[in-house]
Amino acid sequence: MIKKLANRLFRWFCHPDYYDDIRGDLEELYFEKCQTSSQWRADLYYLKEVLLLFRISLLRPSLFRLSFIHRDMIKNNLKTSLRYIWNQKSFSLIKIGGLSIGVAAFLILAVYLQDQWSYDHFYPAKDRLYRVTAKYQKEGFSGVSLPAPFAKTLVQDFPEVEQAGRYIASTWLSQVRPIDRVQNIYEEGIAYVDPELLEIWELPMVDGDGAASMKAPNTLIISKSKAMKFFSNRNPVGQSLIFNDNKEQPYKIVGVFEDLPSNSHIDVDFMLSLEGVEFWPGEQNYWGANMYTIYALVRAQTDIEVLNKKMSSLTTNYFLPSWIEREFVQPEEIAANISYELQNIQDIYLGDSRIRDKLKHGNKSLLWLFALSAILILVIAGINFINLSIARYSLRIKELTMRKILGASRKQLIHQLLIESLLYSFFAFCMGLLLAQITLPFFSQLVDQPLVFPTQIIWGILLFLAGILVLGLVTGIYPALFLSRLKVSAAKLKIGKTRANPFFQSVLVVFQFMVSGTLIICTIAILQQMKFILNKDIGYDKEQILVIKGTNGLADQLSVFKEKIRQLGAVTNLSVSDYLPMDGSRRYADSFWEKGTEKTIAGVNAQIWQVDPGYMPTLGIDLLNGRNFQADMASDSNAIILSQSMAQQLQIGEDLGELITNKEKTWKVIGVMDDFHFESFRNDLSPVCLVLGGGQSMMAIKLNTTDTQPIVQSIQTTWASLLPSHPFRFVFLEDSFAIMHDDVIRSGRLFYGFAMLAIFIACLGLFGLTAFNTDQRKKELGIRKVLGANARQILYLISKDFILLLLIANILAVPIGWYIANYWLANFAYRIEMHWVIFFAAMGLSFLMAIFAISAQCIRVALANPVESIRED
Amino acid sequence: MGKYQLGEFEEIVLLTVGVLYDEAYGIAIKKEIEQQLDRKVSVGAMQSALRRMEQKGYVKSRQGEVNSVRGGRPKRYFTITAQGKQALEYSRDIRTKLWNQIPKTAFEI
Repeated sequence: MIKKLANRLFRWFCHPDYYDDIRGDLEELYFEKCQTSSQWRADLYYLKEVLLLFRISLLRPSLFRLSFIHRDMIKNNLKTSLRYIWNQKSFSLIKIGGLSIGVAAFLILAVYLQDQWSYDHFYPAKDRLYRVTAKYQKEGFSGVSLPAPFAKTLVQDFPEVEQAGRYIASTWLSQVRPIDRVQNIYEEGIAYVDPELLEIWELPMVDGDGAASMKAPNTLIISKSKAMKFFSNRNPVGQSLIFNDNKEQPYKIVGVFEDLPSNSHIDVDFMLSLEGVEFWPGEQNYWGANMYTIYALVRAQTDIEVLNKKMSSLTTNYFLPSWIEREFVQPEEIAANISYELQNIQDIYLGDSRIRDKLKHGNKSLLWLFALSAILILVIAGINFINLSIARYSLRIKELTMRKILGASRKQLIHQLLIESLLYSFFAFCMGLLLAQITLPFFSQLVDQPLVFPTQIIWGILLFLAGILVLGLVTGIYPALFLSRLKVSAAKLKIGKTRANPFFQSVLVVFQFMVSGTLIICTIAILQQMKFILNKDIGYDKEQILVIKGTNGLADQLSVFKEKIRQLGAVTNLSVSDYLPMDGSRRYADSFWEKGTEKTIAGVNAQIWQVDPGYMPTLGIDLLNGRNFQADMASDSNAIILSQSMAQQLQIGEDLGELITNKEKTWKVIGVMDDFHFESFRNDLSPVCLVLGGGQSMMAIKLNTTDTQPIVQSIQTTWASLLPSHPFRFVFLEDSFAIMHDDVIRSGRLFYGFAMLAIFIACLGLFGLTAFNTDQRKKELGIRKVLGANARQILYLISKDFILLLLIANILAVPIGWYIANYWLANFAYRIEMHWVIFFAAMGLSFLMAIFAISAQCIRVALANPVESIRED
Repeated sequence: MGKYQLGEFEEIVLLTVGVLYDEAYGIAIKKEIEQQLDRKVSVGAMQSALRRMEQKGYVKSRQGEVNSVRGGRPKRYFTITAQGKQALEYSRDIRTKLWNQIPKTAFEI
């Protein structure tokens, strides 16, 4: 059996001249071997010898000569191809350029997508790490804030949960200094954590042992970069830091951790231990306040769905009693409304937008859109390439016919053309890579992500080669097949003609322009939405308001500061409070009832902000009824001003003098104000009410001039004279507002870029197509010229074929563009409506660019000498 | 090695062909080498060397008789050509020359 197989193998690869005698030798050996050993062994020996006979000098010649790798032929092909490229520089440049743009776009987007999809993949226990979310069925969103005892109870009551830890980002802590220094440094990225959290995250420590040492109170761990910043080369472990100038409670550094990578859903530099921390007396056992984010490490093979359902017992066993005690209305209903869902840590960044956490998220639908765009751009570029390759083929036809006459088979012609296309692909890839490298930093800025090219060399080279191969083959196949379809008549050197499939090419053009049209529509829609956002009346005047942060540091010097500021000529109004309609400001929500109705109806959920009398005038909020707070009226300590929507929800109309309560305190309504937006336009207006109160962490200053530089300077000087130990931080309210919609702005820019690219490539394509078309009709156009056609008539002739196609493309683009733009706009509670103008503008732009592309060819034809085209060589 | 390209193994094979004079065919050569040099030789290595040398012109071959063991296949006998002889002599001379140039002391290490 084995011997038979070995024989067959040998017969296959051996040179026929040598076969017989070597085979004979083998038989002899085999015979002898059989005398001494078993047949089995002899067979194996035989096989071994056969295998060892597989040597180059003994092989069949045809095994060697793979029919499609003829070394010399390839050399010749490359030479001719290079010559072609060089001789038609502009044409080749267009071809390569178009393709390389496609490649570059694809590469950049690949890097971006890879980055976005990789968030939080670095946790060792990533498949078992979850974040707890509470889903509120009726309201339709989920929250991630839970009470203090939740984590402990989770571990206690559920054996499936191995460990759980709490995390709370402390936005109120912002001033940091080492205990031996006076100057504070403003820092974000400060959070309280449980030592258990460090364990389940398996946070890599550079120094110290993290979790164990954090079990002592008043300890913290610091990131490596911040350790460098605060302590340069000294060992930070053992040093103490003071937060917010709280000298009574310094925190001792017990460890240094590696900075969290950029693809992490949180960014934290200072982790303070939650051991022994109590935000108010009894807080650690209180089930009524939701402040902590909870991460849980679940045992392997736990069924998450089952666990989710089991967790509802937490509501009934712990939350419910607390609510009943606080006399909530219909607590059972509230309990039934809540369900828990564990969210895997890798899903947080791109996760459901209905989960409300205060973190930065990637937008999954946007990513899909980008991926689609990248692929489309590459496809368009490829289509272009194909079209351009086929255009002007009359130039190639002589060469190809000659080759055919000299004996080339069709297969060989195809090989030649494929090699040429691979060469183009190689150049395009190189250029594309270069382009991508150059533009990556810009793109990275655009999407606000640090992006770098992955640097693993082997991977890179392999992908590079694979990419070139795929690109070259895919784009080369059609032209190769098309161009090699030649017929040579034996009688004369008559050069055969074939017609390109006009339908196929028309479809390509329509497709290209449809995509560009759609992108233009989307871009215009986004840009209009941007304009809308920035210009819409938001209920207050955001222009020329300077906000100084951290004024609570001034303490008693506040009034002095205020006086000095007021004396500056450009200041018209100022207000001090903790609450401002911008990101990062404090928020406080509570439930309110009209006094007397507490037990009968569910309360109105609204923001309640503590402000001073200067608040409304400074921000320019309109009073619809009643009056503003007055500093000298003692009774105003119980006064409240409601926003219009809040008044409506409480059903008290715009009457004054009503009593409003949150079950702990009661206020008297002295005014009703215009609603204003303090969140992004994605959300509906929330009801707000204002009361007098003491917070003073931010000062809003209304300036009456746009020349703000000198004012800011003088304010800064004043600050430095009163509070040199705290950094002066300020922002303009309108800038902050713009930042809230930052992602819209960026999306707009991105789509703008895409649209430009798509149009550019589509025009390239059209250019190529018209080139082909005019080439085909060389004779006809030449004759017409001789008979007296002028430039305008030529333009008409050439563009006639394409106008219809463009029309179709644009008409198709309208519904698609409308659908996509609508889908995106649906995210916003406040949005534009899409008018006719958008679509017309898009179409017009499309047409304009197309005409531009066509006219290039027209000019060429108009200027050409008709003799050249009519003459037959 | 200069004008005559001859590898070490090829040289051995060539010499053995010479030793066996008119009886040098595949198996015989293989067995002779294995016996004389006490080293295993595979049919493949040897045949490959023989064919190469035939291409270079150091050996020539003729077909011999058949026998039943070989399944009716002829043997192929190899003999050294004049050129092959020159190649062997050249190689031997080179070695001798180098040997003579080694000072006596080089071996008393």
